[in-house]
Amino acid sequence: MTQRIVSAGFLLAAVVVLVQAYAIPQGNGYQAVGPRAFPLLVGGALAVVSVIGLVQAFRAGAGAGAQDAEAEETHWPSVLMLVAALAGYALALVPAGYWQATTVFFAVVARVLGSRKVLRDVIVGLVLALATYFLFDRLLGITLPPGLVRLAI
Amino acid sequence: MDVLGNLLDGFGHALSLQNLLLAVLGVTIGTLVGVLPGLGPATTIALLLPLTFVFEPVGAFVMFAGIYYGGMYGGSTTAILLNIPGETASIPTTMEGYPMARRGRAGAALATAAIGSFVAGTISTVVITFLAPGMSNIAKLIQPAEYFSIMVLAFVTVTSLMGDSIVRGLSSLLLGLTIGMVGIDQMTGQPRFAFGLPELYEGLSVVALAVGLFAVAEAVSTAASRHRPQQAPVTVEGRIGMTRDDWRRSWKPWLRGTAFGLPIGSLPAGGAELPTFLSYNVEKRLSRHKEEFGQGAIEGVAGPEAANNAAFSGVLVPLLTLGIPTSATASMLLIAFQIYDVQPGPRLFDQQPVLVWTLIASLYLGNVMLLVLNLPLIRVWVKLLSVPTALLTAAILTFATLGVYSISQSVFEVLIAYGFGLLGWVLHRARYPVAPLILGAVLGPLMEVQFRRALAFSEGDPSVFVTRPVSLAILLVAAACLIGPAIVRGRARASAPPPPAETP
Repeated sequence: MTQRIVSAGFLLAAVVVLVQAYAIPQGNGYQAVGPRAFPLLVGGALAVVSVIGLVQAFRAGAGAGAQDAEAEETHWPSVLMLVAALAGYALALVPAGYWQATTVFFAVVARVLGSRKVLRDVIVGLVLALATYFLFDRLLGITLPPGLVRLAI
Repeated sequence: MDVLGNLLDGFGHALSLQNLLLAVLGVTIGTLVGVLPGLGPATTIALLLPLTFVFEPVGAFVMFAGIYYGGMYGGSTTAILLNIPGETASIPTTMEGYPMARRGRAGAALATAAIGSFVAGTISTVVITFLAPGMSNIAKLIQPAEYFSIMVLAFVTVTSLMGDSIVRGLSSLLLGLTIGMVGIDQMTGQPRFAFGLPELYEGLSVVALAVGLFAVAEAVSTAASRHRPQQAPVTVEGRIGMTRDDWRRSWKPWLRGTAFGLPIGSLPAGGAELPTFLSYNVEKRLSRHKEEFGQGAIEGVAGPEAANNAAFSGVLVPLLTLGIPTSATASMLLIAFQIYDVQPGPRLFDQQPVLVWTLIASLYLGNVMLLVLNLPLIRVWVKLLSVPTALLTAAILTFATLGVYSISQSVFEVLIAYGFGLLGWVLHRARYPVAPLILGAVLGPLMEVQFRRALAFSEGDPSVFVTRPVSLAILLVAAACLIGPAIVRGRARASAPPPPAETP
């Protein structure tokens, strides 16, 4: 099932690539090849390959069931919670500050992945966040978002 | 062009106290991350890339060589103790190394892997030292049409060797090429595939792509399978080292493995998969202990590990002289070069002699450090295997985010990396290989440059690729590599029952 969806996705991508490539202006007459030729070539090849892939995925029929055994065992709640945690982390990084957001994110991800030792996770997350913050921000000179509370050191 | 003089110069730079410390640091962190389950060398480098940016190029590449070797060695440790290959090339190691570990011979398996890697790595580095400058002179003669054809050949061979379906490999590759085209066209200033987003004008960052496809995808995959039982690592009992009998059975496989890995890796078509599997099969055939294969034969660890390491060193030849990476790990190296605005290729040896020779000198150093540091410290590394998966995954995501953010200072890039992580996980589930995708994204822009140059010389005549004899010959070889395996597989499928589903 996964393979059918993904191969259909590839075909869709090929169509988008071709449409977008056609939209690229040909460029001026001085150049033998403008910015459009290579994208068209790649888009065309992708279309051919993805049609074959789609045909193969549907022909595989019953045989594909065994290959998808792994897919059926997917623990979707965990995946969705992880995606939510990632989105939240990226959005909170600048307003909340690097080490603050990282500590929370670390504990949340550990929880999503089945850890039940909340206190330990928070402490490990805090230590990791502060250690990387000091290493990058203070020692290596790569600025990380400080957030509201600026550390005195 | 005095090779030895240049090499000594390189050692002069690499042996400064600061660079030595960076080499030690690189090997240690490389092993530390590489040992973590599921993190192969390419992922290790993707995660550690940001750390090298703060140093000036020479220091960064010294550290990088250490990370490269450390990451590889860490990968074979996981293969032996956990039965988890970090990448395709480590599969033979799991087939013999893991059974050895279960029989209480983990110490010998780890030792033969480490010493074999050292032997293969050192021999290969010596050969590269003398081969690469010559190759670089030949490479200068290559014309755009032939350059383009060589890239096609590299793509086709790497794709047909990875994964079980050429169609899926090519799909992945072409998607990578598309990703590589996003942004402003270098020659005309025309935005392409940017969908009107100014953030995309600079192109999609290959660092975000690599971190996403390797590290984030691994974390998502862990979350998706969290209810499945975790495999406990095998404990390392007894001493780390080999008996006299182990040595007797290992040294020939090491040398044979090197003989497979180095030449195949050095071709602009190779990669590390083919030589390791070749080495495994040859050792199995030649061994006087055939009955032990599958139960933990030391030859089956010694040969493929040596082949793997030799191929990894060999891969540097096409990378440095042609600018063509032929493995996921080599793509990561190319990304590192590009971040420092250094473009590997025929002119590299002329334009950046200090950088290149220091890098080569640090390969020797990295190899020695690996042996000196890792054999005594194996027990420390093994402890890392017992870190709970939940904490490990959280840490991987933290470092992935930190890496992308510290390079780009952009939340948008972080989100792109996460997006690619999900894409990588979906592709993996549908059994599409992701290595060709990275290769396509990294090499695509260079390929387009050669494509357009060739057509500019021919005044727009597209037949230039097939009318020049050398270019035609290379393209024919590529076509044969593409169609050949399909025919073989088709015949095998017709005569045999379908193979069981491959477990990734």
